[in-house]
Amino acid sequence: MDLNESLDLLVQEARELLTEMESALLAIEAEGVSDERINSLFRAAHTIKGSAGLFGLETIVSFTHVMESVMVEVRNGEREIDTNLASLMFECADHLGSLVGALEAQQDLKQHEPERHADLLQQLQQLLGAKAGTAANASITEKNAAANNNGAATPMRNWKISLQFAPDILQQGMDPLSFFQYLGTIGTLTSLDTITSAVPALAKLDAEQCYLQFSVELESNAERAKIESVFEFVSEGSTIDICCTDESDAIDDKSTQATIAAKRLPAAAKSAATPERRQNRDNAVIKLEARKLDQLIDAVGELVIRSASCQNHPDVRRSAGLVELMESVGQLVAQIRDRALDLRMVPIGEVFHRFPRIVRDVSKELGKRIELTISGADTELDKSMVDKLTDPLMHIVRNAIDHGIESIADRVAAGKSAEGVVKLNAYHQSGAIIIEVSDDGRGLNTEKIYRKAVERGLVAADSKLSEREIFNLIFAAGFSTADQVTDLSGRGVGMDVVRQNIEHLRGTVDIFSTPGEGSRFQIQLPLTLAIIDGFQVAVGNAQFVIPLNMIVECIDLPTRSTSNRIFNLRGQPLPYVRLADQFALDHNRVIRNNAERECLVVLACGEQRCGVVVDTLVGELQAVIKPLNNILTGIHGFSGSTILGDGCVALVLDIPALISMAAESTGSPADADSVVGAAPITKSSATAKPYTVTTR
Amino acid sequence: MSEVFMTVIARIENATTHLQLQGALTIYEAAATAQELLPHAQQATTLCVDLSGVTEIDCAGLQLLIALQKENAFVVFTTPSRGVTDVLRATGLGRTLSVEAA
Repeated sequence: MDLNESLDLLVQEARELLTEMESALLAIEAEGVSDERINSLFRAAHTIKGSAGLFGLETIVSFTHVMESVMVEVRNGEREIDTNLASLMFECADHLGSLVGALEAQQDLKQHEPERHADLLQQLQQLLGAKAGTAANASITEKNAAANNNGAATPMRNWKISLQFAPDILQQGMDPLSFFQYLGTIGTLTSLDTITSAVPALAKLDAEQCYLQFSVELESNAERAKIESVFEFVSEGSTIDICCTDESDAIDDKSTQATIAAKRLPAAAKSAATPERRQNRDNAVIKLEARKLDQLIDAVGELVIRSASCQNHPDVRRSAGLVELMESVGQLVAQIRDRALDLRMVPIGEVFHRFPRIVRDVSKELGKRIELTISGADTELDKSMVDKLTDPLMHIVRNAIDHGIESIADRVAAGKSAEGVVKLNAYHQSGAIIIEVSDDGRGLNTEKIYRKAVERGLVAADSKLSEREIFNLIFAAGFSTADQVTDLSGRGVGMDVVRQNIEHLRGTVDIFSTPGEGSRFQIQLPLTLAIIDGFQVAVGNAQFVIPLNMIVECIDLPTRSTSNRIFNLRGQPLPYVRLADQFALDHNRVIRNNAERECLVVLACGEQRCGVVVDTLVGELQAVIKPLNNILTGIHGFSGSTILGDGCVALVLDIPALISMAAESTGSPADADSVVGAAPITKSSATAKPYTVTTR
Repeated sequence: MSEVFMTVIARIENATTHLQLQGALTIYEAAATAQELLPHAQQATTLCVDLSGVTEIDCAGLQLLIALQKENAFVVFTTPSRGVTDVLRATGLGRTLSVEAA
């Protein structure tokens, strides 16, 4: 492990601690002060200080030291956390976060936001009074000295460390093994012996006490102070002997003993270690470069194609044994594919967990009271999407609070509770991820939107728009209905960016709104997966692939009905497109036994349905989606291409686009709620079996 | 997370009690696991403990294994998982505990 990796660990750890700190602050604001929350604030500052000290990062050390001092006063009951202090702490946490960011980017910390740094330091020190200020300075010089010593080139020396930890060290969430890993970063562990004589038999064992003792030999050029600092967080009751075994230093060093005493650490820092550690531990994580993952998925993609070609190879087909073998290989390949793709999936909670803080800040600024409820945080989606979702979601949430939720007075007048509710929700629905932001505010004012849109020349004054089209106007560039321009919204930038961002992810945004009751923004995103379970269909010689999870059922189209583009599906109107006509395909199709019959594939995407008429149903396959060449990207209706087992190319149909084509060709808007448009899924058909196919 | 808890699967075959440990073996599971292992350690004549399913181990887990061996000397630990092997090697406990690779 080199220095950079340890720094990475520091950055990662600091981020986790800052998140903890933030949630503790939020909890304090919402539910009041508790010991555990104060401890968690204290621990965050303290631990960051400790690890930063190891790297000689004095900017961070001095800053966290002052934060820590303030927290000590709070913990000792000498100071209360009021809103001012909480806000200050929020700012400090933000500043630390940005320092850590600068550290990660390998910038000079001293040059990083010096004014803000000084300002926050001053505020903190004002709180503490002059006395603490000098104490902080003293500590800096002390740390400086230590850091300088570490920097000097000292010769390699052999150290013998014997460790007898306090019995309760495990309960404090510390694992002695981690010290050895850490020692490994400042030198080479030449030997590690575990002394087990103190361990009793199982019947007498208290499994949560530490009985093991260790004897370590370390070869390192680090100073004694540095080695001692490794055990800085070890609690009272542990005995740690560090001695240098090299002859030259033996005289001064051999006899010295360093017993880690309690005075190093105020007591609460230790006792608080357990509960939060427990939480974080559950997410044991390996950091991985995204590029490596993509390479793996690429390779797995190729594997899937080859495996499919093998299964269809005529030589294989001839031998029953081989067929069986290839099928089991195929199953394994499918498993590998699923797991590989799963690696890219992360819970959307990663995005959602930032929102309590955002909502707090925004609502405070606007003088509104907001309750944020989050559900579906474990819904998984592609990692690349998670990163791009934060901004659009943030805009929508801000808008909901700024425009949607009324002021407290208005709410009370309207007979609502003073506290507005904003909900974030995520779930999967037929091959897509739905993310919803809803509020119980005043709802969208269609008249006002329409008037403003006409004013700004976005629509003609006499145009007749459906409610849905009017809602969509708020996504137009430069559109704003806010009477007052605030810091947060109303300047007309934002919602158009939201839509752009989401369209980049091949998703859509829909708005549902009831005046006086609230609005709901629904973002629908595809599960952009590189490999999908597909269903292969053919028109003439052309092969197409449809994502399997979008297929509701397949039925035979009884007669060649030419003009009518609506099919009567058990009493429900279903618009359909004929792929041959849509893409002007050659129609000299292969005559089958029942040549006059065609197949209708019923597709569902979200709440809309349509049918696609094809000549033949070929069967299921695993399709590795390749992006379309630039020349083809302008063509509507395809989302990619794939290579079939026999080496032919098949195009992957873009179902949402097809649905809107079907709706257009019937001459009605693609409204989910209109009668003849893409028909909404009714209860009965939505619960129908996924699909019924007769193939080959 | 499914791997948080330790499950102990026991089966008795030819007078040997086979125990299969599955999950993490750390301070969080140690007390419960110790309780679960104790009757087996006391009643069985010989014990065979399969460590292949142990996903994570820390000091508490290690000393639990040592205590188990002290309770019942006729114990063999088999097929330690990669993580366990590494820890045993690092701590030198592979010599103290009677571990069979496979």
